[in-house]
This record gives sequence, structure tokens and C-alpha cells, in this order.
Amino acid sequence: MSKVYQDKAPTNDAKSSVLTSSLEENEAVFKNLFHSCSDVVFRSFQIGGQKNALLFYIDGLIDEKQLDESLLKPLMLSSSPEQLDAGQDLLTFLQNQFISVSQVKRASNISSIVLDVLKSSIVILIADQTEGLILNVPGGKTRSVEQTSSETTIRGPRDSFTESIRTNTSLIRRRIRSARLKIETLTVGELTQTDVAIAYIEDIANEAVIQEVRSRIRNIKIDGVLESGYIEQFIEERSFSPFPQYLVTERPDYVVSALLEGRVAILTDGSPFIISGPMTFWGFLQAGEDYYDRVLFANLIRFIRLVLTMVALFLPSIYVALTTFHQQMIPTKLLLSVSAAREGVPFPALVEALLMESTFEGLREAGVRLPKQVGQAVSIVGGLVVGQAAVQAGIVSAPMVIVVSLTGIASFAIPRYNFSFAFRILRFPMILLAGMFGLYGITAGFLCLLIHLSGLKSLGVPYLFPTAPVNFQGLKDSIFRAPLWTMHFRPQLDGKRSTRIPKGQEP
Amino acid sequence: MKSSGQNNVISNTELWTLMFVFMTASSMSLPVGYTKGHDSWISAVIGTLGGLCIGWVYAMLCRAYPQKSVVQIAQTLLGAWTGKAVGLLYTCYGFQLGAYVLRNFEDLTSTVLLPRTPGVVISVIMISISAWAAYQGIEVICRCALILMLFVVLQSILFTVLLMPDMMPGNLFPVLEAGWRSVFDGAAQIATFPLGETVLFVMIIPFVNRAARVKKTVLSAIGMSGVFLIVSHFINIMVLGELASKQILPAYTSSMYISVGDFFERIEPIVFTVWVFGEFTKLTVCLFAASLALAQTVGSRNYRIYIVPLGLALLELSMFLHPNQLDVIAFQKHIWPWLSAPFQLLIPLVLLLCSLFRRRID
Repeated sequence: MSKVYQDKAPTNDAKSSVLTSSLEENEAVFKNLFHSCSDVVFRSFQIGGQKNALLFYIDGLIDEKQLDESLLKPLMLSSSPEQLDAGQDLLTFLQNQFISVSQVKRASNISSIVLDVLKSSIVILIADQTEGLILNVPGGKTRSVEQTSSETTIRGPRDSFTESIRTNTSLIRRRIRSARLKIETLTVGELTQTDVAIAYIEDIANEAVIQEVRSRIRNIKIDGVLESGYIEQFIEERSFSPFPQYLVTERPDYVVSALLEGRVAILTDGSPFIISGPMTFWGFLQAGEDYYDRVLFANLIRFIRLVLTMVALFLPSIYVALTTFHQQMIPTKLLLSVSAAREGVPFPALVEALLMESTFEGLREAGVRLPKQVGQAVSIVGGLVVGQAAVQAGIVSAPMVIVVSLTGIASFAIPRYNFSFAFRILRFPMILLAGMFGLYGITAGFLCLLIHLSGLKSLGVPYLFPTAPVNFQGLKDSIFRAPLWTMHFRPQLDGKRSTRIPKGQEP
Repeated sequence: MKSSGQNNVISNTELWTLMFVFMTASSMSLPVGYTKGHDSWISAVIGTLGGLCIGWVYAMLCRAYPQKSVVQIAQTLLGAWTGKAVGLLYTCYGFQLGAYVLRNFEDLTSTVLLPRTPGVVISVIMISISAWAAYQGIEVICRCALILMLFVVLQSILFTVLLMPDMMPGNLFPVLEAGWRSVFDGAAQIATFPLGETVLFVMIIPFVNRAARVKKTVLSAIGMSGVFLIVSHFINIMVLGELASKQILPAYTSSMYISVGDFFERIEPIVFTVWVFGEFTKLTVCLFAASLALAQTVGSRNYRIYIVPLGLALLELSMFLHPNQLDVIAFQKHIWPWLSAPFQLLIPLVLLLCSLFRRRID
């Protein structure tokens, strides 16, 4: 089946073939391979005025300044002809004395040479040699490390990942100065040949989990990988669960904290978003500030976040249930004002709620991809027209607008963006259930959600860990957070216990 | 990939939680043991002791044969055919209990919450959710129970605190106005209805990872639920007085008395919600245990294929068991204790004696 993705003719023929000793033949092979590739540069020259040589690379992927300075110049101007005749040792000699590039290797297999050229290397072929020199001189333009735009913070490091996998690994390595941090690289994508790296800390991450991730990534057969989302969708356990099973972040401190807790991070070249797992329900409700800020405040914001998450899921449905079925639960005065507001509204609360929620989701979706200048217009239209005018026109009631806006605000309080999708999706079936069966419907919906979450796993770890199955050490960092110096152990995701913060450090 | 824990193994904590939710959540909203007068709390105390005895018998039995359910124990002790008969009996017991749970649930929901919704719709939703949970296996059921326990405990504490202004200790007197007979009647109900029904857990105890400590787990769960029951009886009698014994849903009625600052009042739907959680747990355990017992009786490895047929039959049974709610309550008051006695006490006791006898011979 993988044949579909493969190139036709030349590459396939060249797959197993090797270089010959004739420079002209080799040159013809590569020129044939790269025909109609205007970005490939071939340059013939002579080493020390004697040996014919050919150099080729892809323009824009390499550092041309370094090429000129540390390659062409010393090779062309070298003046030690007697040594150049030394036969097979010529390559070693050149490597040792003339090529001042740190990453050099030899290759004779044509397909591997082609791959290296495509991955920003320079290849030098020399007459009468059956091996070529491959010099890794990456260059060209990439985005520099900038402040994160999707996950801002008040306290905490500001840098964020970029599209280049090397920059990203360096950002992690800079924070974990230990040889136990391992970064394994695999290649995914028949055409894109994307580097995908698995990072973990040896002896902390569960070996079985690493093995599973490795084999799942190896099994991916695809023509191209454009974003880490491609990898995520191939290696997640349940595609049809509304809940994400991997953390997606562009902040290095989040990835490092995940690694330190024994999780595995997966870096994809070309994407600033790094995925990390196994993740749990509570993990998605945590933010970096929970650990950076002092413990009391951290607990307050964590609690608020949990409440708001529940609000985002249940508020519209509870409003519908109360106004439709259980009016006795609303305090009398409030009930009077609510019913006065709803008097002129032609729709039942259920339709009203669905209408407003859909409008809100529509507004949000419309605003996401708009240019900044137009974004203002959407907020004006959304805020004034939909809110104010709809109420005045008697299409929806004012309490409904309040409920929907509260829900909207609450859903923004969920710290992980991909986690908030779950609640945005689930809100609608909840409203429907509430409209049909009132509080009983909401309870039934909650139970369904609970069963689903109880059965869900992320890389073998139960999603509701450490609350269900209960783990008393883990509870120190779930709904609430204990002071740092009491969290002696790492999350026991695989049942093993390893010390993280030794005892007896109370200030 | 395999889970971090072993599959199909639950910890003793999880068993404890499941039993606790199984017993407390549903029984707190039903007229369990509320016989004449003001003495139902005495019934609760005696009933709890009775429940502990029942628990002790089957816990001893399970401890003697770790990793074996009651069906397998009976097969080992009394031979294949007697074992199969026992298995069939427990299937029926779990099945019938499930039907009663569903029936109670439907009755209460139609009465207090959704009077105009057809009862069958309510039952269908409930049985589907339970069947789904039972299908997912014992681990998932236990995890649900862990989360649901939070709500049960929170609700109990909240209501106890909020009802304090309405409690009148004078309501507890006179003691033993109606005599010991009605007290023992109530005690028999409490021992057999919420507490003794845990005998179904003889199908689930084999999943526990530390079988040696099962007795402690079972007894402490029954004891703790008993304490919860006693407290709830105290509260309801102190709030409602003699009315408590005349209510169909005493806890529900007394929660109507809650009123905080004219704002936080009429919150009985919260009682209802927590009660749904309890009924869900109970129904799921009944369905799971019945399916498992049936699977072990016929020697099938996969209990899951029996869940849907059993669930459908259970739904059907719950609808034509009794003509109305009062009939159900009368049945549960007067006949159910006698009907369940053989399952809760007789069969486990006989099996326990057999095992002791056999051990003596060996």
C-alpha cells in the first residue's frame, strides 16, 4: 500500500545503487534525479588544481557563507599535490585537514545521499572515489524564538517553541542538563520525511510507554506530516472521544515539567506544538502558574478553574432545566424577574439556549481566523447586535444572554485549549437532555460522561487518575495542590514510586 | 496497551467505595425501616448489627476461597450441578433486585420530578446507562463509584448542617411507644434491604487484589453505611417527628424544610440527583453480578453478551412486577426480607459450614 506514496522512476531505481568511481557517471545520476529542480546547485571544481570534484546542495537550506569560507576556499587553494595522490586515504586526509566543518560523514548509497541533500547537507563527490563526503551545514531562514502567542502567562518563562526541531530540542536540553534526557529521532512521512523526536527522561518515564509510543509512531504510514496533530491523531487511543489524550503546548516549561513527571514528549519538525502524554483529566486543568505562584493563591485559582469548567459544561443546561421543569428551585423574586423577562419570548428555553449557544460558537469561529482589523467588526456585531438587539427585539431573553456569556467566559478559563473543545461539544447534548428530561437528563448526561471518562485511558494511564483509581500521593496535586515541599513523589502513573523532593524541607 | 494497573483488578479501597455507594445513596431516600412511632433509629442500630452478621458470613466465605465467586465456590464444594443451581439462584436474585431498583427509581422519578413523562422512558434511559457501565467492566464501575462517593458524602454533610435549625430532639420521644415488635420489623428491613443486599458482592470480591483484607473491607463498609443510615434516621425523625414513618420518601420530605436566607430553598432536586447516582450504582452492580453469575453458571467466559438480554428482561420485569408504588412498598416491607433471607444468609452460611466441614476432614 505504501507504493502509492512513492515517487516514480529515478528515485526508485537509485534506491539500492551505489556510487561508481567515475565522477561523470555519478554526476549524470544526480543531475537526472534532480532534473527540473531549479533550487539544486551543482558546482564543479578542482581540489588543489588537480582532482576534479563536484559539489551540490539545495539553495536556501544551507549556510552559504560557511560553504565558501570553510569548504571551497581551503579545497581549491590547497597546494599539497603529493598528498592528493595518496589514493583511498584521500577522503580521510581531506576530512582531517581541509574541511573545517564539524558534522561530516561518508556515504556511497545514492538514495541516502539524496536524503541528506534534502535535509540541508552539502555533498562533495571526488573523481575516482566511490564514496562521497556529506557535510551538514544547516542554514537558511527560520523563525527565531519568540514569546508565545497562544499560551500567555504572567509569571513564568516567556520563550516558546519554533518550527525547527533542533531549536526545540535545544530549548528543552537547556532546561534539563542531564544525560538522562533522551531524544530519539524517527522519520515519518513518505514524501515529507519529517523528523519526529521522542523525548523522555530515562528511569523516570515508563519503559513500556516509551516502547508503545515508539512502535505507534513507527507504524504510521502517510505521505506527509504537516503538524504534530497528524502524529497525535495516529497515536491516540480513542479518536471519537471528545477529550484529548495528549497535552499540546508551545511552552518549553510545560514540556519540561511533563518530562520531569515521567511523561513522554513528541516533537515534530515544522510545528511549534509539542505533544506530550500520558495526560490525565486533572492535568488538563493545570497551568504553569499553579506551581510558580504561592500555594494559597494557586489553590484558589485551581478551584475557580474547576468551578468554571463545570459552569462551561452545565450552566446553560441547568438554566434550561430550572426554567422548564423545576421552577420551585429558583428563589421567588428571581423567578418573577426571569419569567417577566421571558414573557415576550416566543421560543421555549431549550430552543433559546441552542440558538444563543450556536450563535456564540459561530461568533467565536468567525473571529478566530479573521485579520485583526476585521476582528473589531465581529465583536461589535456580536456584542451589540446579537446581545442587545436580540433582547430588545424579543427573540431571546436577557437572562439567556447572561447565561451564554457566562458560559463563554467560563470556557475561556480552561487552561488547555484542546481540552476546552470537549466542553464546547458536550454542552449541546447536555442542553438537549435538560430540555427533554430536566435535572434527570443532566444527571443522566453526567453519568454517561463519568462512565466514558472512567473507561478512557491515555497511553495506558486511567484518565481520572489520581482520583479514580484513587492514589493518595497523587491527590496532593489534582483538584488542589499541596505545598511543593510536601509533594515527595512523582505522579505514580505506572504504579512505581520515585522520590522527587526529599522529605524534611519545610521552610 | 495494557493499563498501568492490572486489568480487571480492583483495590480494596475501590471495593469499599462501591459497597458504600451501593448501600447509602439509594437507601437514604427510601422509606427503609420506618415503622411505627419514633423508634426507627433503634431499628437502624439493630439492623446494622444484623447487616454486619450477614456481611461477616459471606466475607468469611470469600476469604476462604480467594479469586472465586460464590458460584465457583459452590461448584467446588457441592459439585457441578449444585453449583450451577446456586449460580442460577444468584442470577435470579441479582436480576430481581435490579428490577426492584429500577421500579423504585421509575416510581420516584415520575412522582417527584417528571410526572408527565412516561415511566418507561425514564427506565430505558437508566437501564441503558447501567448496561453501558456494566459492559465496560468492574474497573470502570468502581471508578465511577469513587467519584460518585464524593457527591454522596458532600450531600449528606451539607444537608445535615442545613437541617440543623429544623431538628427538634424532642421528636425522639417517647421511646418504644409502639413496642419492640415494630422495632424488630424495621431492623429486619434494614438488615436485609440496603445492607444485606451487598451479598451480591460475592460475585465482585474475587476481583479484589488483596483478598486477605476483604473481611475488614466488607465489614467496615457495612458499618460505615450503617452509621450513615442511623444518622439519617435521627435527622429525619428529629425534623419530621412521627410523620417520618408515614412518608414515602422521608429524606426527600425533610430536605424540603431546608431554607437559608429565603434564597437557598426547595433544593430537594439535589437529593434526587444524588439518589440517581446511588440507584445507578446499585442497578449497575445488580446487572453486572447477574450477568457474571449467569456466565459462570453456563460456563461462558464472556459475561458481556448476557448484559443486553438481561437488561432488557429486567426492564420488562420492572414494569409488570407490581401494579403501583404502594404495592411495591408493601412488598418490600413485608415480603422482601423473607424472600432475600435465603440468599443473604442461608446459602452463604451453608457454603461456609460446608467449607469448614471439608477443611476439618482434610
